[in-house]
Amino acid sequence: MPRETDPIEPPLKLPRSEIVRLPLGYQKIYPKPLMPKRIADKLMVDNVKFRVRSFSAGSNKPISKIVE
Amino acid sequence: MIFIFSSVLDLSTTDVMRWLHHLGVTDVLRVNYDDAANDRIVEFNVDQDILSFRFDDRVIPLSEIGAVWYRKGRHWLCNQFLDVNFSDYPKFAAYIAKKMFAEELRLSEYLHFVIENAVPELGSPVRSDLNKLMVLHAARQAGLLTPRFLISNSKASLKTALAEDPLITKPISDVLYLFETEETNFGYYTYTETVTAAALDELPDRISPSFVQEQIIKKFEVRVFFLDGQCYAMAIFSQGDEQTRVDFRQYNYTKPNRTVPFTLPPDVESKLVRLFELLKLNTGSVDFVVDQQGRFFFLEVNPVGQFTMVSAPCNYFLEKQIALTLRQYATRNRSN
Amino acid sequence: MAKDWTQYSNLYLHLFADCIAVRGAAKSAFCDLTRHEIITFPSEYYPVLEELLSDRIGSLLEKISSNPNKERILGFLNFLDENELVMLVDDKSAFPPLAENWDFPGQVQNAIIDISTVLHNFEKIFDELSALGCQHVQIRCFSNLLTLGICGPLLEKARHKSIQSIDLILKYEDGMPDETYVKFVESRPMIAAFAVHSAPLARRVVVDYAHPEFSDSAPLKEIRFTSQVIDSEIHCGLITQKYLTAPSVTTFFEAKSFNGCLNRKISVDADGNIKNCPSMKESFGNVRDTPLSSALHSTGFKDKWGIAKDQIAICRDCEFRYVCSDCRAYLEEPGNAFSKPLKCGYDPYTGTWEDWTRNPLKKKAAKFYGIKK
Repeated sequence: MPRETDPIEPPLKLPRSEIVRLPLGYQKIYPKPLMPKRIADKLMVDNVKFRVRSFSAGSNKPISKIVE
Repeated sequence: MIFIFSSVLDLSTTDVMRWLHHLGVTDVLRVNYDDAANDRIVEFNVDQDILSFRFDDRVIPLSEIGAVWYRKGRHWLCNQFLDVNFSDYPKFAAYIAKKMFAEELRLSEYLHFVIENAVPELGSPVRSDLNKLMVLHAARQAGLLTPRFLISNSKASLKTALAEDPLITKPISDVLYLFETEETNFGYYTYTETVTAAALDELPDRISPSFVQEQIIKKFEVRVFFLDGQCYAMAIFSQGDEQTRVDFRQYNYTKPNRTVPFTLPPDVESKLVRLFELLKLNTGSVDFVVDQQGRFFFLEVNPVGQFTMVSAPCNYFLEKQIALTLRQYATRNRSN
Repeated sequence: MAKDWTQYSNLYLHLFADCIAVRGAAKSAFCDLTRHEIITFPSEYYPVLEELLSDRIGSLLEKISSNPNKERILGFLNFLDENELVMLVDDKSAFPPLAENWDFPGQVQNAIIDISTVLHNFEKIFDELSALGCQHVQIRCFSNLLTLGICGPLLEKARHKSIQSIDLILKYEDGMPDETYVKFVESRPMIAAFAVHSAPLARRVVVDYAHPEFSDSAPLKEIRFTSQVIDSEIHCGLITQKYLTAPSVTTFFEAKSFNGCLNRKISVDADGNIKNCPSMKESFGNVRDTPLSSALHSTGFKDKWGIAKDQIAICRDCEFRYVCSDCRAYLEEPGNAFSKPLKCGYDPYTGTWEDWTRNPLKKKAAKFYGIKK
């Protein structure tokens, strides 16, 4: 079963002959697409009081139970 | 006042700040190393060893700071040095840029040195720059077990080692953790990997120095958050899941590993306390692997420890503990 | 695939600390606090569970072999294993249970603000909530007073305070295109949930920020349009399967010691009265002239915060009691503060869900509260 994080052909297309010249601990590089900046900017909230930028997280329990 | 050096993206810092406010400590100043746009250090002066700086409209002498928490980052002065443009001479410009960076590093080092000598601190920018191999040495000095390892530039040596024991490999310094937003918009990571005969066969005879370590067949792993002498331990059961079996940071989000509170054996705990004394650190996260015989193998210390991943599943309230520790440092400082 | 248990004779079976068994009358449940799941099983097996956790596997297998229910007991053992609820250990004391503490860095955790004919001074309310450390605010409008046009600038006032997220429940604006609703949410990441009531067509509209593969990180994926007419707070208090909380460490231990709904909650009803929740009768002042913190500190405000499910009749026998947020406003017995929520249709003695409105025994209480349906 292929893991979704198997080292697939990354966008960098690094030649195997060069990879094996790296130390062994750096030879398996896993790429993961990053959230595009324009999306991240839309989703993140700046808070001046805490000087933090974060995704806003809602409550993990219902605040009221009025909608059927 | 409590000073926190952090990153603009760090949520744990915000949680600790909420606790500080709730515990009655409202004068909390957060400085982010990566928040250049909002960098409000307007002016600073060091007169002999006496530091003061103007942050927004407020002048803050060192004497007013009760405690400092080095949560993340080091070069919090990254934008104090003015940009210089020598576009006609790119090689010279590159050299000057390196010099300015080195100048900034030295100044930063000195400023943190001054703060360290005047104010109680949780964490340390200077002592957080750990050499992992030297830490393994210190761990053994403290009486902890560490897995056998080999560093070699010879393919043949690695093959011999693999013939004796199953091996894993990882970097000597830090894992790859790159967010490449300009060319490809991809993140690039490396993890601890098993070493296979096939992978070794592909290598040239002479290789770049590589670090390999005996692979411990785990029963489970333990992560400990160390805070001012106290150990908060969590057991991680990752071996049932192929994806996380070698490196539990390859998180399986669909079926998370079990993470539960754990009571460290007293001898392991006392050796860990000893290790932190040797490293002169008062906080950090420590990773252990426990083998089938129940022996604890020390893997590494991360001085900028992620504590939320231990606190939340174990219900330890570490954010509150950190806030209490900072408040306590500030109170003790005032009475001195 | 059943395990060969004989290999583990010397070891004990031990529940993972994040898998907590909750005993109910007819059914019992494992609350998996890490995977946020509820796994139910018949309560007859509860004593079997206790037995299986009490001795080494070797001794257990011996006892089981002579038991007439051998197959069922082994079946239950495999059920525990397959759901990854148990581990095998030789020293149970190394794996302690979770401490049953709950705490929060704020005097108030969440707030409900209702609007009908009066638009409260939201800037003042948000400031006062922030001083109390409040993190989540739900704004419910029963009329057309709170339009998107008014709501937008109002939400700006909630920024840069202790408040982390806003839930909105607004009335449908006639002729308002979906696109406007979507853009409204997209440009305001503080909005964690959005429901539009009295809408002509019930549907869910997705807000995916034009990048569905990052949906895990996007806090809101849809706007819920419902044809339900929510014209007052009287419609609140629904206890249905959808409102059971996906169990987590914080919500589970809060529900064990405190009231899942009222604990560290403050609210402003449509008339400006400060209450535990808008559906409660008792007022602790009006937001026009009473600061929220004064109301919070007045005698009696926090009385109901400690009414936990274990103290409530019938609920104390329900396997869902620590994943249920409860309701103290609408009760089966209006005079008894420790009676079961009126709008709960679950019977823990039979393990079945019913529509509470169809229960003839609840008609009298419904009439008392003025609930029509």
